[in-house]
Amino acid sequence: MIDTIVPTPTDTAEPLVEERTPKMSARDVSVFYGAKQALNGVGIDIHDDRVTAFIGPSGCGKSTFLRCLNRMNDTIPSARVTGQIELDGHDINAPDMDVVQLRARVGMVFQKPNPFPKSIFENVAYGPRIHGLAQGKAELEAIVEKSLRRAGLWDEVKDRLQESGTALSGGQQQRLCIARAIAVDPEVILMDEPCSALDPIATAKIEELIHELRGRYAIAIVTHNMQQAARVSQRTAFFHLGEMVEYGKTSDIFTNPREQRTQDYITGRYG
Amino acid sequence: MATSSGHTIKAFDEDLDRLRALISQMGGLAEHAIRESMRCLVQRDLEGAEKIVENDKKLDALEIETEKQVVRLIALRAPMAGDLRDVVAALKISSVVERIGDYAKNIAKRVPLLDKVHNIEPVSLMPEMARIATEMVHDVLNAFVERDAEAAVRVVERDRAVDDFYNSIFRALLTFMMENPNNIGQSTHLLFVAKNIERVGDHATNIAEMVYYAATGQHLADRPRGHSPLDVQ
Amino acid sequence: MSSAAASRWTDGSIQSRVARRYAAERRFRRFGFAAVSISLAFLAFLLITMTVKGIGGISWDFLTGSDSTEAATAGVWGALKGSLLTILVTMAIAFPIGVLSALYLEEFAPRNRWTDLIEVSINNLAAVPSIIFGLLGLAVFLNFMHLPRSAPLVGGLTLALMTMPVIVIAGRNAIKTVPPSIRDAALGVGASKMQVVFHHVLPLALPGILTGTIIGMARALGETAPLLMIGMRAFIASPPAGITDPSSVLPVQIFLWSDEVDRAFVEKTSAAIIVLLVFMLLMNGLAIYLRNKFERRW
Repeated sequence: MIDTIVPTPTDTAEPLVEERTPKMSARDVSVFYGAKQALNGVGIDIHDDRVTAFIGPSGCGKSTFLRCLNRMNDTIPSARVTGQIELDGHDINAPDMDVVQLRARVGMVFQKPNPFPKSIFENVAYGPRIHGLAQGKAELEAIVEKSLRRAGLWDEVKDRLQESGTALSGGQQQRLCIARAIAVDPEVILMDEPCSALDPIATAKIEELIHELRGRYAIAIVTHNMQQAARVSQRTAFFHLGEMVEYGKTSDIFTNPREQRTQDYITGRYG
Repeated sequence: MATSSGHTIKAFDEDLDRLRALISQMGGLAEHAIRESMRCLVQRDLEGAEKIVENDKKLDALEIETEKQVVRLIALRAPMAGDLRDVVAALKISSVVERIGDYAKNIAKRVPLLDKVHNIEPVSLMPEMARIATEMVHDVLNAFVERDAEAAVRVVERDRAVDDFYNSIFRALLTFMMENPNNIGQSTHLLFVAKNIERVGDHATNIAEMVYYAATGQHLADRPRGHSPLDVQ
Repeated sequence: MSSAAASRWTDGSIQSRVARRYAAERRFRRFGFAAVSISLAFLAFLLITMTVKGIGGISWDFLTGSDSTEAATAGVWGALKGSLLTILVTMAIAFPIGVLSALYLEEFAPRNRWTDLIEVSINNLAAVPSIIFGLLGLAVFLNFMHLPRSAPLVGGLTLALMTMPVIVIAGRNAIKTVPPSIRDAALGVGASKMQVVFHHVLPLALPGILTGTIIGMARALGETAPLLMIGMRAFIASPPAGITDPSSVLPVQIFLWSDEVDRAFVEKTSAAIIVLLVFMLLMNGLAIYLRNKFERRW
C-alpha cells in the first residue's frame, strides 16, 4: 500500500519523494453503498500548490473518493465510509470535526454549474455571510470583488452584480461557482469534472484559472478527459474498479506508466 | 512493456501498423543498398552501382512520407505513453535509416574510382563486415516492429565486431599505403568505404537505443565500445 | 436504389397517414374547445343569473350594514367581516404548521414505516368530508375546550384542520422539486442543514407552497357545513369586534337568507353571492400576486 503512494524513484532525473507533509491524506479508504462496495482501500496524498488529477473510466470510484474528502457522502443515507482521511493531520470523520467548517475549508465545484438562483453578488456573498467572515457591507463587497477577480470573472460582471447568476453563460456560471467556493477562503478546492458541460473555449479559460489558483490552494480534480488531466495537473492517480491503480507524476504517467492497466486506459486500449 | 490488445479505435491501430510498415520498407531498401554496394565494389559492377545511386531517391521519399505520417498521427490521435514513444522513435529511426542509405550510395559512387581493387588484400574483409552491419540493421528494425527490447540489446553487442573489423582494415590499409605510395589514392577510397560501413553499425546501435526506449521507457546504459583506432601506436 | 427510397416519401401511401394524423389533431382541438366552452358556459350562466338577480341589491348600505330581520335593512358586512376574521385565523394557524410540517417531513424526518404512515394519513385527511371536521370542531373546541361558540376563532381553528393537509401535500411536492444540485451547492459552501433548508429550499419551494395555500384557502372560504356545526348559523345583528365574538360567515349567511320566506331576501341572497365571489377573487388575486412576486425574484 505504501508503494502506491510514494512510488520508487524512476530513472528520471528527479526522484519522486514528497518531503513536505501533505495537506490532505487518505489511508485505506473504502466506501459502501448499502452492500455494494464502490471504493476499496484507497490511499493518496493531496499536496499544497499542486493539482492532483483523478482519472479513470466511468464508475471507477474517482468521484466517490473526491466526495469523501469533504464528507459530501454524508448526505447519502446508504453510504458508509471507512478508513482514515486527514486534513492537516486531523481526522475529518472524528466526532469533534465540525462538518460545516470542514466544507468551508475544503470547497467543491460540481460537474454541472449550479449557481444559486440569486444575484451574482449574493451567490458569492452567501458563504462569507453565513460564516460571518465579513464585518460590515464594505468588507463583504471587498470579499466578493476579490473572489470574482481571482476567478477571472470580475471584468465581465462588475457592472451587473445584481443580475441573476443563472443568466450567465455556462462557462461564466462555472467560474461563478469557483468564485463562490473561493469566497470562504478554503485551503483545498475539489473539482468534480468541472469542464465536462462546457465548450472548449470556456474549458480553456477554466484550465488557465486552475493554473493560476494552484499557488494558493491545494486542488484535486476529477476528469474524464485525459488530455485535460495531462494539461492541468502535476500528479495523477488512475482509478479502476474502485481501486487506485497507480499514482505518480503526471509526466511519468502519460509517457511511461508502470502498470499495464494504466497504459491500456490512457492509450485507448481499454474496453 | 508489450501492448496487450488493440486500441478501441481501430483506425489508430491501422495508423500505427502503417507507420511500422513504412519503417520496415525503408529498412529493406537500406539493407539491399548496402549489400548491393558491396557486391558492386567487389565485382566492379558499374551499372549496378549507378542503380544504387538512383534508388536512394526512393529512400528519401519514404523518409518524407514517414515524417508526414508521424505528424498526422500526433495531431489526430494524441498518442500517449508507449504509443507516443513508438511514434517519436519511428520519426527518429526513419532519418537514421535514410542516413544509412546515403552511406550505401556513397560507397556506390566510389565503385567507378576503384579499378585495381582486387589487388588490395584488406578488401576481402569488407564483405563480411558489411554483412554483419546489414544484419544488425535488419535485426534492429525487426526489434522495432516487434517492440522487442532484448533483441535491441543484442544488436548493440554486435557493434563491437564491426568496430574490430574496421580497426584491422584501417591498420592494414595504413601499412599498405606506407609500403606502396602509388596505392594511396585507392586505399583512401577504401578507407572511406570501411568507415561508411562502420558508421552503419553505429547507426544500427543508435536505432537500438531508440527501440529500447520506445519499448521500455528507460534509456539504455552506455554501451561498451571497441578499441578506437586512435589507440594505435 | 436511391430512387426507391425517395418514392416512399413522395407517393400517396405516406401522405394519407400524415393527413389522418392532422385530422385527428383537428378533431382533438375541436373537442377540447367544446369541453372548455361547456365548463365556461356553466360558470357564465351562474354569474349572469346572480348578477341579474342581485345587482340591484348592491348598495353602500348593503355592504356596510349587518344582518337584520328586515329584508330592506339587511346587510352583508357582518358576515364579510366574519369571513375575513375566520380566514385570517385559518391561515395564521394552517400556513406555518403546514409549511413547517412539510419541511420536517421532507428534509429532516427519517425514512421509515412511521413516516410512510404519516404520509398516507395526511393524504387521506385531505379527502375527508368537511362535515367531519365540523363534528371534530364541535367535540373538541366547543365541548371540550369551551371556546366561545360561533366565534371566528373556533371557525378558523376548524377550517385550519381542514386546510393543513392540502398545504402539507403541496408543500412536500414543491420541496421535492427543488433540485439536489442547489442543496449540494449550499452544502459545499459549508451551510448547515438548517441554512440549506431555510435559505435555499424554502424560497425555491415557496411558489408551489403558495399555490397549495391558494387552493386550500379557496376551499375554506366557501365552506359551510363545518361552520354550521360549530354554530355559526345564528342570527347575528352586529359585526364581530374580535375573533372571540360570535359571528357568521358569508356562505352561511347566504344559506340562511336563502331559507327565508320573505321574497325580498332573494335579491339579498344573490347580492351576497356576488359579494362572496368578488371576495374570493380578491383573496385569490392577492395570493397569486404574492406567488408571482416570489417567482419573479429569482
